[in-house]
Amino acid sequence: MKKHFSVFLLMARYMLWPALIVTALGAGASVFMLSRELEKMGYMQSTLLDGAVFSFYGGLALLYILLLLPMRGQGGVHPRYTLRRLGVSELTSYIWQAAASAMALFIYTAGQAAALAGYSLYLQSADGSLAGNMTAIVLLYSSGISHGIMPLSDWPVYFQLIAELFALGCGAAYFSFKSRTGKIAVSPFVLLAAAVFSMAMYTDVGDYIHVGLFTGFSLFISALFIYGVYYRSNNFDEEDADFSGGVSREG
Amino acid sequence: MLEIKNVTKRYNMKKALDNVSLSIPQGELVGLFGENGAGKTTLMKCILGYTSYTGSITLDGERISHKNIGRIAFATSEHSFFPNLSPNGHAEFYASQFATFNRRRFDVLMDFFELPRGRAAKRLSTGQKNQFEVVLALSQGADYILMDEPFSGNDIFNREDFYKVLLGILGERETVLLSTHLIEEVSSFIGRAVLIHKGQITGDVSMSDLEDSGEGLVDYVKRAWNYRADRIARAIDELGEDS
Repeated sequence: MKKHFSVFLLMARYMLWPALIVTALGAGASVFMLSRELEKMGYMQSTLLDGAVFSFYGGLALLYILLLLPMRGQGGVHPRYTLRRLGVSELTSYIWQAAASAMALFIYTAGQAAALAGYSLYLQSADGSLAGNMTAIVLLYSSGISHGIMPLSDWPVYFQLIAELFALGCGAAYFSFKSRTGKIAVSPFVLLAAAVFSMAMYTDVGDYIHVGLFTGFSLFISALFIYGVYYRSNNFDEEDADFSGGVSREG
Repeated sequence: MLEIKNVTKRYNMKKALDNVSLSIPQGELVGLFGENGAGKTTLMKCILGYTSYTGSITLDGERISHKNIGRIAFATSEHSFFPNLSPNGHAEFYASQFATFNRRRFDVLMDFFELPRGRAAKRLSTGQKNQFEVVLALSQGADYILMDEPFSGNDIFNREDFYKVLLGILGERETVLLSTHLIEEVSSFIGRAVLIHKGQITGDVSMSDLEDSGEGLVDYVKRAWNYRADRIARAIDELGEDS
């Protein structure tokens, strides 16, 4: 267990600071965007929290890009061979990196959820002419973003969120895995676009077909990445070709 | 015992290793010599399972996997460690991964090379990176230590001191497979010389046998490779005729 935990910590130590910094910046940006949105609306509408859409996805994309960077070669130092001769398999190291990336993304979404909830509660308590007793609940349920990342009692949506974050974690770790072999993987970027699309789609409360589809899709994508790493770490001929020089691109 | 049997490795159509067989018992200091592209690095990568091959490589009768790979250390000269982790961070990580990690040896070798301990590994100079890789390989506590051109970028004084330290610190059961071009330099430190040429083992001799025969290692290597001393004179003559 010590071997597994140390690999997870090794991965997580590169991700904690980017996650905390982007979370703080993203939460601040979202609150700023919401206050501007409220000014534009003139009065509070149920879709107010959707005003944080750009700051939310912008922060998510920024953090995701930062998560692609660890565990690749830098400054003439390449961790590839060391990662392949640890007490845990290369696939296991990959899964721990995916889990650490998913946790970083979870920290970010939790920060955004706190910002949205905090702003809603602030409005509810600050100005009686703007809000009533149920304002915070109505806002959180009626916005696509807030319902997606903080579904409150609509608990099946949590499964969708966790599955999407894990798929993104797998994508980020896969990019890192491929870059260690001298290749640039495109699929993690496609996944990011798909995740943004999925999260941006508003799910009605109780629409579990939608939730099930996106959860299933995310799990399927995660499984594909994991299989890709398993296959490549057991079939070296493709990896040998990488040493012919240059960086190639693939899916 | 590290047993390599009939190992062949192809890169596309080209054979990088051709039916290589070699047994390396514990406790030997083996020099692996060959020209550029002879197959030295490929052989080490096959041992570690970094590349596919036909034939078999076993460690005490078992296939090498992540379960027993901790018994093999590797200094690649490609600086295979973690870019943002400091040497001290590496020591802690290695200690968690390899139960045999020798912290005392790590500290002694770090002091010997006067390497900084708190700086990210990617910020070390090229020579320091080479030295650090050797420190990690020797501190892992492995039974077999594979070193692939570990001293490139280090001056001769540093290298000679290191050979002496290496001989002083190695345990009875520790084995070093040392791939290098510096044949003369290591000839007095190794116990056995293995020659590889165009992917084939062309020579395998113990240094004591060589000593008994009165032949030097460099002469033995030249003989095994059919070295043609006259080619220099011929090239100069040809150039002279052109001008």
